[in-house]
Amino acid sequence: MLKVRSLKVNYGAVRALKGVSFHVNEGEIVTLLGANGAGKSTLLNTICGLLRPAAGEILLRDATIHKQSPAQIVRLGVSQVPEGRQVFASLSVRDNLILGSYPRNHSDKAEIRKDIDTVEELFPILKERAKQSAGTLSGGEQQMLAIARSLMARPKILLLDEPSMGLAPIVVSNIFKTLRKLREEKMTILLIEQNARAALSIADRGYVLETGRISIEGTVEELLENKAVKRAYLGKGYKEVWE
Amino acid sequence: MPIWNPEAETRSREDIVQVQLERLQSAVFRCYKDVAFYKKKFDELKISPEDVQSLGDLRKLPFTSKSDLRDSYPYGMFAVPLREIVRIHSSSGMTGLPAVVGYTRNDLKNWGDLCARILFAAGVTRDDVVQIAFDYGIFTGAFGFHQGAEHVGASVIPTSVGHTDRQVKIIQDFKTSALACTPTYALVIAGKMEEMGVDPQSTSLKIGIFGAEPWSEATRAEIEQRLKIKAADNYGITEVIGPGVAGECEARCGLHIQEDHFIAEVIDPESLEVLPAGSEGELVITTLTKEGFPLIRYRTGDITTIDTKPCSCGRTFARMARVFHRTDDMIIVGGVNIFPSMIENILKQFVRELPEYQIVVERKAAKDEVRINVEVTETLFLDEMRALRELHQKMEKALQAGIGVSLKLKLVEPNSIRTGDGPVKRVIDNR
Repeated sequence: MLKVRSLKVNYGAVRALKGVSFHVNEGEIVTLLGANGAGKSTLLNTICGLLRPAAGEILLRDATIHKQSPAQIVRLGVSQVPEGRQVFASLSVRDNLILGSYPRNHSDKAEIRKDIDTVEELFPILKERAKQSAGTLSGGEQQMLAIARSLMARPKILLLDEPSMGLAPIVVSNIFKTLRKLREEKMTILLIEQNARAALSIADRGYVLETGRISIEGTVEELLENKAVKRAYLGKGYKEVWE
Repeated sequence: MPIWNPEAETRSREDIVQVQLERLQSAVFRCYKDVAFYKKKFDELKISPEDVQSLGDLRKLPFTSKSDLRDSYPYGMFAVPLREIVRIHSSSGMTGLPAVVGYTRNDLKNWGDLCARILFAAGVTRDDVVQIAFDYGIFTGAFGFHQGAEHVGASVIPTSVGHTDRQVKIIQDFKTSALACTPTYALVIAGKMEEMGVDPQSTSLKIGIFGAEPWSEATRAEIEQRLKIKAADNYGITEVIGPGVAGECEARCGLHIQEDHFIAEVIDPESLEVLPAGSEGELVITTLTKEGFPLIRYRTGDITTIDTKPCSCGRTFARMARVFHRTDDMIIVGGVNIFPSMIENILKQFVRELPEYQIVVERKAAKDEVRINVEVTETLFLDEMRALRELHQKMEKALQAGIGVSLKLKLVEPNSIRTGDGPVKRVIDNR
């Protein structure tokens, strides 16, 4: 579905990504783990066309997309759920969802209605709060709204940037349950997370980004077994203490 | 025939390239970060992991040689702390320092899967009873196939090598259907059966997985005919992982290299240039997934060619030709690697000046016989016959102990080995 090859991205004089390659197969949840400043959000923003790569390529279903505009990339089927939710606070929950369908040809009201039903089924709370303004929702509800809004674009691949950020563990677990449900419905997901434990609980494979480079890749089982991953990203809670 | 891991073994070429690129970049980064040897080499050459932007960039990277491994004996090139290593094996450097290799849990898991692929390609399934008659010990052969066969779900009998009459009895009583050992030992077992009055063709054996030494098509035909089995070849090398690097499928047109874990190149051993596809040269291997003991461009010393054309079995991995020769003078007898330098080190213990010598290997009655001819020199010359005989015995014993195979020492006339001005041919392999 998505292939990234030797991607290099500069922020002024700083090289944020130094040749990153990874791929996401159809129907897979792939997670990108990494500490602050590793380049995770840079990577996501480059895939979405918000940043331009200095070198390398990004392919969606074998067609290059890294020269397209962000709007075109969304239309091609790449939807980002941005870090920090970024819902439209003053609009109602329902209107936020309708906005999410804009990248599509939105003349077909019946189709949009159907999609709203689908996402509200996935997140029943959004139905309850349909008329409430989005700003009054709790953090977890806003995150659900942000995901639902992205789904309204009927993406081929969903990119999530730190969906667990600032949320209580129980809320995180609910959101991740929904992601797992999406995967069962064959949605392809690229999940960027600092909360490695939560991400590895639902992903199929993962990559570890370290100072702009991939240092480790593998199946979730392999990453959970890798001591470097344990040390750096799973941290406390493990019986053994590593230096 | 079914394929053990179809998702990995039947990927399109484009997907293989993508996976190799991803893994190569992270492997090179880890080597640079975690192995002092590679950091130093990269810095000297003024290259960084960032320079690997395509698979073609691999040729910018330095080679790793056997002597690099010796210099870092035992743990110098491990990429993780020793506490993360759960298994240690080593190559057979019985006199010189051997290469020591360490495996993490993930490495062992991958190794098991790789050996499972190779056994499965040879026809082994969970319905088989697999007798592992490789030497269990510090070598990789037995343990690699053992894990692989268990992974496949076969019933594994770890008989190790030797006690051939017992091996025969186990084949008969336990109804062994697959035999893993060196080709030489397979013939020894066949011979033993005949000696014991057991018809080698009427046992339950149907598959043989042979390796750890070169064996000709003639030997294969002989084994298949005498034991009435299908004999499959495979390629492995301790430094790289052990068995599991490449294996033969039913199409018998080369050994599929497990390209999602290894990148194979063929180079000219003199100029060190990468040769175009299909040319014969030295096999160079880069490990892509190994955590404990990763290697960049390891020079195996084995001569082969690589064929990337599709194979009728459905596997998409490139195939390497069966290995019959090496770039150096190393010979393999009964799975043991023998270098001329090993002989030299032992001879030097007895004489001040190294005499001329020659290693002769012959196959007699399905057994490899090693003879070492040593020229009698002035320093070696003793008037007294008894003293000379004693010296002969001592040297022969020391050679056998040091090299680990039974061999004969023959003292020969002066100037019978060195006949001209050119370099002396140290190894004569008549197998």
